[in-house]
Amino acid sequence: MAHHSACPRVPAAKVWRLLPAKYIEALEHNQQISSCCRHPENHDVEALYSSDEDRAKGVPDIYVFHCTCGRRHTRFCLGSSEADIVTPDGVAMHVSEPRPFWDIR
Amino acid sequence: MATYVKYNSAIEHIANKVIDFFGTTDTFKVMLSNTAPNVATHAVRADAAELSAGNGYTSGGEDTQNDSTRTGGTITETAVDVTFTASGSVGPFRYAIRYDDTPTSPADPLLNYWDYGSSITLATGETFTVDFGASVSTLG
Repeated sequence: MAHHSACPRVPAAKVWRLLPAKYIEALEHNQQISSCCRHPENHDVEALYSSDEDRAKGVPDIYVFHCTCGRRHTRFCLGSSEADIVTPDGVAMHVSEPRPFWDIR
Repeated sequence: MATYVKYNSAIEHIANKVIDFFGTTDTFKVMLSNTAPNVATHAVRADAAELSAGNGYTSGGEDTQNDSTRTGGTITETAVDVTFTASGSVGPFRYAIRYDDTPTSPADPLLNYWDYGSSITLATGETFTVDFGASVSTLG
């Protein structure tokens, strides 16, 4: 099945404040990729749905960063955006990792 | 989020204490495959057709650094995102399959898989990150 577009491909800089820090850091800190790829501020980014079911939910589960060199860096989001956990210190806390969404007009 | 599809045998392995689902005792790994999983007949890692090792992909996949905690009557499972970085062509693959790397009898029982929706091949220098979000699953 083909993926469905969720959010249009745009310069990452345009939606920078929406992007979770870990999306950025995963590229910035990866010493195994090219120097240009470690600067996501210069990339384009788009969001996709992997299936009809995910499109029906309206929450993207695929994010693709397109580097200026042509390489792509894909993030496949599997887990839940919200969770109640207990820290190693025994503190109950709510964790939130919302998926970014944009609609540039 | 992509659908969490469990293998039929997983719940039996959990009930039989083959898989220690709580805490960090057992090591859960995620591997890649391009062959559609069969939840009824696949029970261990050897049943699944894993991607060939090489070009940055290690046989058996990567440790998810899984953990879980309990709040009330619900166990919440967490994991650390895994990034596969290609040093040559990697793939094609379509499925991320999770298994327990700790048990030896049976070895490597399967837990679940996620379907990326279409096959993908990584070129040199490209990455594929499996993002487990705030939680992987809940039990209870």
